[in-house]
Amino acid sequence: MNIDIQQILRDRSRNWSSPEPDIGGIKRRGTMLRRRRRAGISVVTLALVGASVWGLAVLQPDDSPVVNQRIDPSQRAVTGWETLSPKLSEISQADRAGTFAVLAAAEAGLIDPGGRTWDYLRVEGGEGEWTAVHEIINCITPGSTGEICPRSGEQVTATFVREDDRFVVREVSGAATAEESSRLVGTSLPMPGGPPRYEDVAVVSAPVADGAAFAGWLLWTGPIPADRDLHVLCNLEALDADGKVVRRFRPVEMPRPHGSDNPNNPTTGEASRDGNVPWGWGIDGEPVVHGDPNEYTAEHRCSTFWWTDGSRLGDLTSGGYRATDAQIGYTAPVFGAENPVALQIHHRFGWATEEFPGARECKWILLDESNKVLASEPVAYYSLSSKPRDNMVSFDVDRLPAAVELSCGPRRDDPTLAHDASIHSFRPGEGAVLVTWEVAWPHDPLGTSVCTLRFTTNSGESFEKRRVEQGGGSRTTSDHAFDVPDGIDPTDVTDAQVSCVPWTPGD
Amino acid sequence: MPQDFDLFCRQHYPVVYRAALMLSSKKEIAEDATQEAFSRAFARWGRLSRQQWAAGWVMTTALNLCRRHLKNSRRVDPEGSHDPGEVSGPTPQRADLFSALRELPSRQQQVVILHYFGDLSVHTVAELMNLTDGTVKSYLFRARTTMKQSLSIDDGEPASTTMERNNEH
Repeated sequence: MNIDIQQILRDRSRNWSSPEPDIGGIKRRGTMLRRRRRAGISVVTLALVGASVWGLAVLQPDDSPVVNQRIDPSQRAVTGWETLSPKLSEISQADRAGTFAVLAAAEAGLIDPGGRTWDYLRVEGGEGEWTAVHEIINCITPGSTGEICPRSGEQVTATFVREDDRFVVREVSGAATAEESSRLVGTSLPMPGGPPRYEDVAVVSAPVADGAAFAGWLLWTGPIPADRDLHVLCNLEALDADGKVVRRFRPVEMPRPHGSDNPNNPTTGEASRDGNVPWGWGIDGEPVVHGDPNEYTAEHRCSTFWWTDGSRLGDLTSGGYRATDAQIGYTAPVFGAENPVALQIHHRFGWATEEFPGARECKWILLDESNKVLASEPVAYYSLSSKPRDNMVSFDVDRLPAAVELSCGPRRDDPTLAHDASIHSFRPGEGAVLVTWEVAWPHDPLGTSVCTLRFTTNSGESFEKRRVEQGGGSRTTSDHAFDVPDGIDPTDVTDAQVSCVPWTPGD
Repeated sequence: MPQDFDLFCRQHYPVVYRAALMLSSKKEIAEDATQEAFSRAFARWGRLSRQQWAAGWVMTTALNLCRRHLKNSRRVDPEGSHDPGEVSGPTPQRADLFSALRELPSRQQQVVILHYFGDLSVHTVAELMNLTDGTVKSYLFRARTTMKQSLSIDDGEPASTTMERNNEH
């Protein structure tokens, strides 16, 4: 069967009648969006849209006492609080045997994300003896392009037995080479145990043109699908010879362990082939670190996050800020962790009134049944957005709190000082001027300024752009793009100046 | 050369709408997403009108809006699912195709629609999605493989594809 998917897509959708575009409505909405963009400060658009919509009142000094608002989980119909255990399903013997099969292959050096790999398919048998079936896949060396790890159709089997609390490989057959057989037979490992988690199976670094690329392989040890709301966040990190992280790749979020047809033990190779793990860096042909590839190693770093059932805490208000939709969950490191070690409160954070509360020192506090502090986490908030935004605080705890408190200071901490900014260079871009500038905030605590950039063209025209600067620290350099007004060519801009003033609600 | 927005809108609206419908299978979602994507384009028309990939930008925006909408609606109704029947007159083969398309991971869906339906080059898709060309090719390959497998069940014959294109660069 010859399938031209492009043609099918077009043919099959040709008869879908499209409504007539409401160009008037599109333009009205577009004009409103444009006004918002221009009325605000271009870079922190959302924040300032919020501010302009709400119409900020002039800020009065706030000398009210510290407001502590408490949520007592015991007063709520919250389930799943009895223990910090994630309470995932029991792992079956077959799953543990499958986990062993993958780990034993890795131990014998038969899993190579950049080369010939034994890809686990399934485990058969039981009652003390199992046979693992693998398929040979040939993973492409990082640096080349094409399909990730195409299947060969050749299968190998490894028979292993249980001896006390260990599994031992007894026999290998099928398409295995003699060397592979000799490496795997006799491999003995403790029976996999503990809660479901990701096991770090293999990470390879491969030399590519003027650097190194990396590919990684993880193994989910639990049942598929997991029966709880579970998220996994992973980074692949490149480390230099001193163990310092020199490059961290975008975190990969796996909302559940690989929605795979394989009932157990899919590896990230499988997930990658399924497109569930966007780890394309291994085949992009781009070095992720430059220089001598032998100087670098790589590691996975993953955390698993389990939500409990019924974990909503409600809202908390203090010092002009409000946390809404607070939810509690547990985070566990995934490699070998026996117990969860961190508790997270996810919430949305915004203003409690229509006034910008300014920078505040706030504190999240966890209390036990006798009102003793289990843990606390200071947070400096200086949200410019009146619209609540996603936020998270994390605590190291060994048990659940009986109550959660949010407490913010009564006064604004941000001094009425401005950032010190200067333009390092500028150049024309696509419909914009690209500016490199330096900014410093030699004060403590954090502050907020509005910086105005004034651009002048070779014909003497000028236009202004504004940008909010937040935070502190010594002089830093950063790049920004500023749209030019219609009718102005970015190449005509000959001068750029910047000046900053302290943020006030009227801004 | 800047394009005229009205002309641009009339020319590309049906294609963007169909792409959104392809992804969402809900007429109202597709319509809202298309309308909003063109509104956002109008807000930026000063810059966008000079770009050859303006239509791709609008399509990408519409697909992102669709996906966000679907994600939010799934949160509200975990049992809710797409209703392919809402797309007029489905045939078994088409249902298979769109079902296969919707089962792809979101980025693969987007790459397939932009490249094969939106007629954008690999490089343009890569730029619009902030990916490398190699990653886009990889997504296309995986998507083709998955869709090919989904479509080969009709007659049991091994499938081959003619999806390779000459303008991938």
